Amino acid sequence: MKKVLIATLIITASGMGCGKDYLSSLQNSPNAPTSSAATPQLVLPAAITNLVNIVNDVTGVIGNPSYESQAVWLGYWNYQPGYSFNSGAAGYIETSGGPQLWDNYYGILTNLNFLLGETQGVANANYHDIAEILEAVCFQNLVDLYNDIPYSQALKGQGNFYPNYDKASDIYDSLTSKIDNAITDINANLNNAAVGVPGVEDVMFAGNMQNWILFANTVKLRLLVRESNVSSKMAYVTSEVTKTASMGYLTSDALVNPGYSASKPNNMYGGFGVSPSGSLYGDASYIGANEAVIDFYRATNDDRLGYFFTPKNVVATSPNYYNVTLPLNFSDYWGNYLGTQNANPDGTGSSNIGSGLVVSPTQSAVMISATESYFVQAEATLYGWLPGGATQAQTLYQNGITKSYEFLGVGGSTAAADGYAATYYGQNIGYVAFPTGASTDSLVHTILTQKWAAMNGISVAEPYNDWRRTFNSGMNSGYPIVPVSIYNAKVGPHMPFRYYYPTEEQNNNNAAWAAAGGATVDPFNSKIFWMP
Amino acid sequence: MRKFLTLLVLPVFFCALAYSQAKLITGKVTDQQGQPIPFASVRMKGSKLGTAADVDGNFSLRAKTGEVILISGAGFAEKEVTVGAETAITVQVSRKENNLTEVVVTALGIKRESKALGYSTATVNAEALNTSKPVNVAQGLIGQVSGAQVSIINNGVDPQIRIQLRGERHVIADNQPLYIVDGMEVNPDFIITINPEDIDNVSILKSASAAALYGSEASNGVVIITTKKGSKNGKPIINLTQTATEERLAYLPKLQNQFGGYGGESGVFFPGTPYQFTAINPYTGFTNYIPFENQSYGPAFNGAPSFIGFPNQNGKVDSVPYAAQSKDAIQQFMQTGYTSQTDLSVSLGDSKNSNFIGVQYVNVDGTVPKDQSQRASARVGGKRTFGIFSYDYTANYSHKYSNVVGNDITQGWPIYWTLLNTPANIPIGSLKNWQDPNSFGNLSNYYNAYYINPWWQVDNARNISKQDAFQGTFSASIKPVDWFSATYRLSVQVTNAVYKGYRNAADFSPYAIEATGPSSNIYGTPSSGDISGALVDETLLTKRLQQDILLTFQKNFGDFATTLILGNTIWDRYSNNQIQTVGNNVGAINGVLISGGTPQGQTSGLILPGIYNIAYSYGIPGAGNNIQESRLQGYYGDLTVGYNDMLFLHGNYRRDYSSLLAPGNNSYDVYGVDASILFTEIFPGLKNSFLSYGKLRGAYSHTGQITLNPYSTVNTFNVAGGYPYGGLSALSLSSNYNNPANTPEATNEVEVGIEFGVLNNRVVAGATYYHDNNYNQLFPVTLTTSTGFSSANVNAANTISTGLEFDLKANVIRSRDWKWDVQGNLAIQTTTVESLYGSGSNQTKQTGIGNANEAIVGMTFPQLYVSDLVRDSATGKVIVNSSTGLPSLSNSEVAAGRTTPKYILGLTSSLSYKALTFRVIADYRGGYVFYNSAEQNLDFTGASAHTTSNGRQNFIYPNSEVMQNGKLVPNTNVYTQDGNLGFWVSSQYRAAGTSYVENAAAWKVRTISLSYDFTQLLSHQKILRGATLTALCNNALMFRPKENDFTDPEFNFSNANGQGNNTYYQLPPSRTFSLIASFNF
Repeated sequence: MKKVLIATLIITASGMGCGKDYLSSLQNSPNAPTSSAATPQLVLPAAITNLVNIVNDVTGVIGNPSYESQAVWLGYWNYQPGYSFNSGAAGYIETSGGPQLWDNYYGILTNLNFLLGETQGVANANYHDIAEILEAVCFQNLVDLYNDIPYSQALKGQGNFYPNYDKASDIYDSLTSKIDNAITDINANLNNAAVGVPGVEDVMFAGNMQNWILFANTVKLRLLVRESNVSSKMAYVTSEVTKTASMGYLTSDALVNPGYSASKPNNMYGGFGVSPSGSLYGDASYIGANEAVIDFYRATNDDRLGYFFTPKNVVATSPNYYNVTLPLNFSDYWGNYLGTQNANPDGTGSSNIGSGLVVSPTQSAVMISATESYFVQAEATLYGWLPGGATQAQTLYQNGITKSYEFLGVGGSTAAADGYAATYYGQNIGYVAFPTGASTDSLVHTILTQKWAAMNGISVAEPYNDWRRTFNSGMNSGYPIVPVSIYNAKVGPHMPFRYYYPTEEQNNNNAAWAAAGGATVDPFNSKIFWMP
Repeated sequence: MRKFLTLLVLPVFFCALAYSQAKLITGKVTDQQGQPIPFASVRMKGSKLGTAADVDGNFSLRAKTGEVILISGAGFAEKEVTVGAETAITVQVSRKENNLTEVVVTALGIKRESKALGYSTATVNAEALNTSKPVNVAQGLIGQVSGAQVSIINNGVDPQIRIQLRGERHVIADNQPLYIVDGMEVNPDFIITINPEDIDNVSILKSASAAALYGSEASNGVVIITTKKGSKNGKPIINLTQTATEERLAYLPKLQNQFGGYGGESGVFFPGTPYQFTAINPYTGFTNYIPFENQSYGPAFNGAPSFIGFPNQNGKVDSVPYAAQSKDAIQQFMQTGYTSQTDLSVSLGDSKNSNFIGVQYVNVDGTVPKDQSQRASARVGGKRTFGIFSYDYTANYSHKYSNVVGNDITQGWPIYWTLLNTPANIPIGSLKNWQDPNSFGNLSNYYNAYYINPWWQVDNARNISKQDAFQGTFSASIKPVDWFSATYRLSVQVTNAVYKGYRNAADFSPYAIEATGPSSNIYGTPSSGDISGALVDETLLTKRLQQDILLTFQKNFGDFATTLILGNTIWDRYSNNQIQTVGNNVGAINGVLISGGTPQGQTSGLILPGIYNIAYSYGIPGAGNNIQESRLQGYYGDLTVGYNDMLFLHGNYRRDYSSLLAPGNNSYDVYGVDASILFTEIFPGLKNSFLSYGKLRGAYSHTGQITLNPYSTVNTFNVAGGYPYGGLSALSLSSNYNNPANTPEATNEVEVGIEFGVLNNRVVAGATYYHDNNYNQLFPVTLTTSTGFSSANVNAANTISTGLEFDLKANVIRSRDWKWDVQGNLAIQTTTVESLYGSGSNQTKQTGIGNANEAIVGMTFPQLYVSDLVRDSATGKVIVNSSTGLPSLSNSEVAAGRTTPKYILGLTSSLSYKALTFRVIADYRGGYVFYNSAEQNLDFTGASAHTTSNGRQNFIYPNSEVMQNGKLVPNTNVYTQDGNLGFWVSSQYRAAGTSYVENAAAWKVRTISLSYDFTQLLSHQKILRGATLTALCNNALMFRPKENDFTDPEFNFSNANGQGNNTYYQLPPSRTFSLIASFNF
């Protein structure tokens, strides 16, 4: 009897002891990789590509934060006649509904945050530094849209479902020091064989860490120049620029290309080019030129007009789309001012997006252009933060224009582009010639106007930021000065200063949102901290 | 009808007439005191052959020496008497005090006497279960158990079922109960493969207290199915039953038959042909009939010669009078369905060993032409005892096949929707010939410009499913001493399902392609013209392996009887779902497409018609694979102490360890105590000629549960958007946060009840009250992405469910020839949302439950939450525009009512006269609403009778108000500016959800059956021992409030928590008539 009992208890006990990992071995999904499989080599390319897709994606939802609406406000683009009137863009209307940019930037940040956590060791130091640099780009872009945002408490998952907001200015300072750290670290590791160098998975610089230093330093300069009108920070800004000035800045475009192909084209081409089946992609027929920027190109005899836009009726499927004949017939180009969406006087649509922007499905996407780098340097030099004075500022300014001509391929070759550029900036026309000796304000005005003319459809956020940070209430505008919407139902007197926080913050992070003044945001009066 | 009769193939038997050596025996049935017992049933053991005693207890029957007579009846214990030499006998039976000695199967298959139970349970025996001759066990439970809501949520050859015990308690997690078959958990899909004839009994544990021993899985109650394992009385019993069923559509939506096609067209059609016409009469401004429309907003029928569709390539048109067809499109298209069901079972055994073998074959021809399903199943079960050892086993294999029509080519519409887009003048019944390129049924010539010919759909789009299921249980016990036994049980369940859904390519003639534009045809509707063939191949393997060890100690100490059970359960659950697709509009049938899929802007499809193999396709196929595995280990103890058969105290404790949560958070306790007090035993003085017994019971329990899917604790990565680029791959983190901090959710339940029997237990009644608090519910919340994620599962929602349940059974009439038993039950239940998620979010509402159902703090759950028209806040009346007479849509949505019934009433009645028995099962569900989205859609098409309620003329919006001089006044003179398309289609009336929220209450007579037992007439022959013939009608009658003129409110769009939404995805309800012949050998 006793034996039977003991035997049964042993059986029972054996049933209980199934091994320690009987339950814990089923934690990881067999259907999708978990963090152990997600190596830095697999996560980095997605982070870079996703980031460039946002900053380079000029098409998106209107009204909510979107770079497309900024392109329309800035006088670059407008909607083609024949489509229903876009009162959202024309009226400067913002809604708090669509959090696309917010979601997209935080989505990338989540991945970068993972990368930072996974790359603590020396071997992955370069990945770590790259992640820090990209993180700075994302957070800066968020601040530029929303001012105060969740930063130090963000991205913590269960650790904090209700992150509080940080002061925008503090975030800027923190990002500056992050970039400094990354630059110092990459520099220190350049000749350290123990530090792994990324390969093809670095879809921007293919592991050229020297280029990452230039990129990081350019990002840092851009960030500090953004604070040019925050007088209380001038001493800090100057010393920060000086600290890494010797590292240099981008002199060529920072381009991303993970391997775009006809079936998986670059974003710009996928919006305005021709699909493999021979039809125009959707944005090509929807979006056309804005008369404001055409007016400027026309007034300054700027051949880039023929590359930014097409003559009327020419689309990407037209046989002569890629044949830009110089000199241009400036009257072939036509667009609508912001607030109108009328048919061309001869009944056709507006000029379409041109062959300088829509090159081929495999064209690279622009993270930061050399043009932008030179214009930012020119401005910093003008302020005396970088050495060389006004003469050097002029050189950098002209380099910016030259790089723009080269980017668009004006004249068909680099040499030709350089020539056309020199002819262009050699003209004695306002906002083309660099008015050496004029007031800083008018020099800044000239630099930012040319920067605007160069960045059409490439990185519209920067001219928009420039306009806001140089906003002059007496003038009711910043630089560049662009025509205000002539739509009579517009809801504000000029482009909005900032965006509403997304409703998901109001709904799901209410207390922190309210504490950050979420309820009192006014797009035409609330300002980003770096605005005057 | 002829087909119906041929289905009833009565087995023919040539039975030798044998002269029986039986003698006539007379007898008398008395109780212990010698008082006669009236109307006892007297029959030969092992057969239904027998008689009944008269009012004085006297009976007579023929029997041979050595045969056994079985005396049975209500209120006393069954008694067997072996026939000896004597011809006159007196049978003394002992009166039962009550039915408390009834054995109930409780959690883990532990059998306990009902008197010892401190919580409510319900047992449905084989006979009650099979009254309605259900095709599956769930249908057999309708109306039988208080608090059990069994819904048939759609119709067709393979209907879907949903069972809910005590309403919905979980906001997001599923609310269906746990299903146990022979000690093993099975998934809800499996129980519908079990032959109801093989079931010995179904035990329903509604309360968390009763289910506590099952641990985490049982928070929604448990349905325990015990299958037959053979008989105990020696002789083999062979039962053969043949059922023939005819299925006819019933309760069809009310369609209009006054107006033909028009859908807002303008302009000139078929210009330059003899058929030229204008959409709008230029002189009168009235709309003309549009021959290719799916919407029915045209002029009134006038019987004039007209045509449908457009001229075909030979310049001919299909001429029909402009008048309604005598039958509507549904009636022209749908057919009578037939079901043939054959059951054969053999049951044999003695007191030590027994066996059961059951086989079943069911063939269903559906009401949709060519829809078909079949099921074949076989089950063996048995028990064997030798000495201190015993074992039992069951093994069940079933094969299920169904072949039903798939979706259409344009946007994947179901066939019913295609039919509802057919104006009343279309002779759809005559458009069957789609094969002939010149026929008006051909796709290129078909009249309807927006929907394809349903006859083409029936032949060219099929979803075929084949499912094999095996379940086996082996259990061995040792009982070395009286007071101890140990049981080891191993169970396995494997289901393998293979699905193939295909749709042939739709190719259009050059003429049809050219004719697009104003002379529209279906070619223009799918934007890409010709539609390629499409295919989905899917397999789903599910497997469950379980081991149970039970140690039972049973000992009496003086007046105390104790039972202690110690046990351990381990299970592993696994599923693997694999899908491949090409082409458009064929989705996954059973699973979810995980990844892949044809890239945007790319096309894919089948190369050849008739070859449904993914290898013969072009383009990039979509593919996905999803594996889910989880495990659990549970340890438990269960102690019952009984005092003198008067007082019972029972407690249990279980600790579970689950793989579903992160180590450290993955264990939890389940415990409960309950007590049963037989107050009529404690105070015998209470017992009198009226009150026979009484019992009070109470229970408290705390249960824990995990309602997450496997792998919900570790974050995963997706293939990053756009990748791979060439050979370069990349990953990005999923935006769903798999939260390792989650802990199990919990339910605290208090339940009290009373049971009593009166009039010698001829009336037995009970009442139960329960209060459940379901808190810490695992719950998906939306996060702001600044947290790094957009969603996460958290421990959140808190709901309280309360309810009252009443059960009554009565033997109303007991006489020699007449017997009438009635049974009734009533449940009143409400779940209220106490809180949702948290501090930073101010969340008072949770969406994502499905079908516009929401959880709203402070309101009953689930709540229909829909848009509303602008109303006068003081009167609640709709405000119409003072110039257009039309209502407008309000900005805010409103809570429109609960979607689960507050009241569920079930009634069964069984009336016998001699060998004739008449049974009725009826139920009522009320106190809830549903959203009649099918009617909303029919208003769009103009097919509903609803749209003719004002003769399509301008009218004053009923009961409305209008603003006059700054004041709201009753509207007496502002007519709608349009009473046709402009109101029913375009106005905000149709856009507002509240316009279609209707009372879901319904009385249903579920089953009416009349059966005759031929056993008496068969007493002269040996082989056939019994025979019964039954005529049966299921879903016989339905009574609904007038506002619901569309369909059965029980039907629902999905099987999930979000209830109360009728759509055109379900076929109309049907009524069935069956003839059942059953033979015992």
